[in-house]
Amino acid sequence: MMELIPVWFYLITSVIYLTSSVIGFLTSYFALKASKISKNKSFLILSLSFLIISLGLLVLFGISVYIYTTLELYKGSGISLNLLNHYGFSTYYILSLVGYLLLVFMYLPKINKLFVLYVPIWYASLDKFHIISFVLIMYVIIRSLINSFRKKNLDSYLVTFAFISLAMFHLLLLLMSFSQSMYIIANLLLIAGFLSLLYMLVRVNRK
Amino acid sequence: MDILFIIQKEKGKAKPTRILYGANLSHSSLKEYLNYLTSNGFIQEVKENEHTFYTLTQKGYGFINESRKIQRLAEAFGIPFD
Repeated sequence: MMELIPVWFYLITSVIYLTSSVIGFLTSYFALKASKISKNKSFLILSLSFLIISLGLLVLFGISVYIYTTLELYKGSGISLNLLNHYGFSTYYILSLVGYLLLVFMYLPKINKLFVLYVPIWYASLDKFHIISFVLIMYVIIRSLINSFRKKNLDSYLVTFAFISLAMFHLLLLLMSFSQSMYIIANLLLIAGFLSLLYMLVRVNRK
Repeated sequence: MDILFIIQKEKGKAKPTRILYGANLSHSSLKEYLNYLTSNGFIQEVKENEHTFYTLTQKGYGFINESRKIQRLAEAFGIPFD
């Protein structure tokens, strides 16, 4: 993967992952605040899911920064990039899957909550991780779309767009072997989705 | 919370009867809730020309604002919120 992507783009992805992570942490914070006031468990689950997803994105930020500095500044010396990719991305996979599972858990009707126990998260090689992530987020998108059609307000549309962007991020990374531009588009969609989430948070918190 | 919204709707000052009908409460429940809200600093009782009113305090206004934000967040994510 490193040979296909221009080295300078890792600097851009570092900014994307860091920004997305910060927005995710903000979402987690506001959801936690809402759960403390309203005593609503769904807000707590939402907070936890975004906290974990954001930690995953922070790991990606670290990997991107390291790859850029190693290839651009130190010309390849340092910890083996293959080793870093393996452990770093494995950490990201696990954190993201747990985060997405929590989101699915939040949206599942009470009677079906045990379903999440049967999702094969252990089956997470690179391609399968993206497929499982895409499927999990698709369920979240469907629930979010239903909510958007009911509420018909901009805030719900912004959240739906954020989840769609996240799903497309995983789908395009799956298709990266066909064209390196998929990686670029995937990351642009990721930041677009999180910026949409940020806009929603600003609107929700305005006086 | 309904009581706070009713008082806010009445431009920050409302009579007990207005709150009673607006929140659809019994006399005993209303008294209990008003005592709770007063003792916790969300509203205060004022007397004007032998009439009793309840007004929102800064804490009450603050709580309404936070509740509205939570409601908007709940609607954005499709989380049931009462």
